[in-house]
Amino acid sequence: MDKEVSRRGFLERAAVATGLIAVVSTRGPAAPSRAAQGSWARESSALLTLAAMAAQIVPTTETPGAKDARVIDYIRDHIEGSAKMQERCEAGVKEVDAVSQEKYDTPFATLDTEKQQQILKAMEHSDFFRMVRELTVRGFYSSPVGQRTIAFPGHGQPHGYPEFHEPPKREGPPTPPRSREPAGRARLVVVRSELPMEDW
Amino acid sequence: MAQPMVDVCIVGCGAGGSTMAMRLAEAGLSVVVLEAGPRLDPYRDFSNDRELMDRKLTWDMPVTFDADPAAAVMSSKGHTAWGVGGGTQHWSCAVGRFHPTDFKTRSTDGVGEDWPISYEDLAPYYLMAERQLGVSTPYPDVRFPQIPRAVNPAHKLSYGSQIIKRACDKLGMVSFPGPTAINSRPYDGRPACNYCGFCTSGCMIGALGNTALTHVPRAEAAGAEIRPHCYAREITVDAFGRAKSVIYYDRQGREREQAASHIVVSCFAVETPRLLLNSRSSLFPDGLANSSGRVGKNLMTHLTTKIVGVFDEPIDAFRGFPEQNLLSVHFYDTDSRRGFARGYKMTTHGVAPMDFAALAPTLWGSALKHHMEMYRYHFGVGALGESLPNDANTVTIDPVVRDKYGVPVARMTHRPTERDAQVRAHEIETLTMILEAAGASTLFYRRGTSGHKMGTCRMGKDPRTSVVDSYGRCHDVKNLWIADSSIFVTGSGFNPTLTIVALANWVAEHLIEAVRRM
Repeated sequence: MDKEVSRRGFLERAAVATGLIAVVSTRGPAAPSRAAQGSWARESSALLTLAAMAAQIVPTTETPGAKDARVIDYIRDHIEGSAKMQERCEAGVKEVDAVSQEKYDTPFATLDTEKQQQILKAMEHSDFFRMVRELTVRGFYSSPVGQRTIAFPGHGQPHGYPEFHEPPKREGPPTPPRSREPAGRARLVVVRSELPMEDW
Repeated sequence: MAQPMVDVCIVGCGAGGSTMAMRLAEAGLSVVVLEAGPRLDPYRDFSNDRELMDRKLTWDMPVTFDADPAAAVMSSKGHTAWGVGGGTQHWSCAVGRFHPTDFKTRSTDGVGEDWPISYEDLAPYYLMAERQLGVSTPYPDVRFPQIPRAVNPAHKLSYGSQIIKRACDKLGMVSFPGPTAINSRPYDGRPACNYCGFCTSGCMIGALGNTALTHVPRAEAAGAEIRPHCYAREITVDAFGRAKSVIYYDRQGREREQAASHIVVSCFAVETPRLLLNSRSSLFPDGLANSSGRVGKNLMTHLTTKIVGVFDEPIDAFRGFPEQNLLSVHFYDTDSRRGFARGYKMTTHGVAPMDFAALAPTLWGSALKHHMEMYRYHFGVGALGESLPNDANTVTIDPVVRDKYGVPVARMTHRPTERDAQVRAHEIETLTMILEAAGASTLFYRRGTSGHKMGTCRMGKDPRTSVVDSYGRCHDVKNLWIADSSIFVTGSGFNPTLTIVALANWVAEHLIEAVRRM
């Protein structure tokens, strides 16, 4: 396992990387005093929207998803650590709910799956969505529930893997990927991203 | 507030500083080491939890980066953690002696510059470094058949590495277990590796070459004093132009002064020139020891490419150490048919779940889950290529940005060259070929950057074109020494740490000799 993309302060870097700037909400004044008080535990409506987004980003399929892993707790912990992040999330959530309100006259969290996915698809290139996606993916795949869906045991001590030179013996999910094309050439996916993987 | 004078004050307790501290203290000198970061105890403080370790390690190196992110080959941040052990707290432990031609790129291939020392000069010091870090190598080593013994035997090849080895055999590329600073058997009072795969978030069982465990305890046993949370601001000089003391901020933020007969700077190829450039005086208006104007010049990195393949069978690549279980130097030395001088090494890799997720950075929904469900089936290969010296790549002092103490921060300027692009294109071609031959069905390539930084206070015989002499001693200031990757003349295609430790042993011996002659 290589060094991870993130280091401490990855949120700030992710925000910078996606060019996220503070979006000033048109729906009401910024609330720095609330943010400073760490109100996220009490700001239930924003959390509901974020949880709904997370549940679409890593959905429950044949295997558990972000909802089952309670990734919203991870997201909230991360946001609570930074007043700047709180402001950005509040502003972003307000935008998402505003779109939902305009289209369907109801908050985002109450929409059915199809409508939620539609709204998110339309905003999937936005800085806010990318930030929430990053948090959700990180929160899910660092959780025991999430790691089980990819058959990753998580920590390796104290037993380690003394049998690392042998083929894996464990059975179970997930299902194997499709075999290669008949022509025998591998498919090269060049991952396009405006930023490289740092310290790759 | 002045501290009692000592023989040597070392700034930075990473690979170079730890080694200097150990050698100098064991020679009977009084040593103080100032380390900006904390002191973590791997046995108590580390855990197999990447998120947690990411927060626990200190990544506070303040630096600005002048580069086009779309083209950058070098990482934009300080790549190594602060703290006792420095980057060795979280390194992959991939090591490799530079090849003899790495010290002579100019005479051999007409590019770069020759070092003022040769592989033969450094060979005994490489062996010292290997012994100190507990390096495991194949024996005999195909690259250095004259080495009389391996310090530790080579590790087995992981299941994934075996698949790659068969592919290399098919392609006619010689490959072999890669040298690594990871214990293949109990060594030096520390256990053998049990292949948990978490090296790069910090080994919690002490099975690898973290200098906080390999060098620092010996330094302290010999009387060295390590001071964590001590952030150096500048080095002062006396009226005769000799280094006098280090001004630093202690844990409480109070300004302190440590005087020493000799001062060693080993705080990373970015922070070392920064410290010198910020240490101006009437005798050194352009920065300490900078009459050549070369402090901060020649910032080098490595050209890294990794490609992750997805296979038809589970591999569970998270088992085993993540880098260089298998090594090939087939493309290392110059082959003019490639169209560029010098080359790169090829190694095997396993990646962590979040790095696998980063190979699909825009996916979400069930598409993302399907991507991640290929995790068990992945294995990767990578290349580390040489990037040649270039005066346009520099560390300077940022004109605007200051750190929390008001000290101007370093500014890195780095532009890749056309040759860099050619090397990387060749790396991609080679890695693709290997993974196809190995049977991978889908290959993921995402452009990456390297955190290795070198060359900013380079060695040389001529004081007009180098900062330190053949022994790491500053030409301008005879009691000032540099013992980190800043003194590299060229970067090679190998990870820097083994050579840093070898050079630090070399510099230490000459410093000891200089003290004894005084």
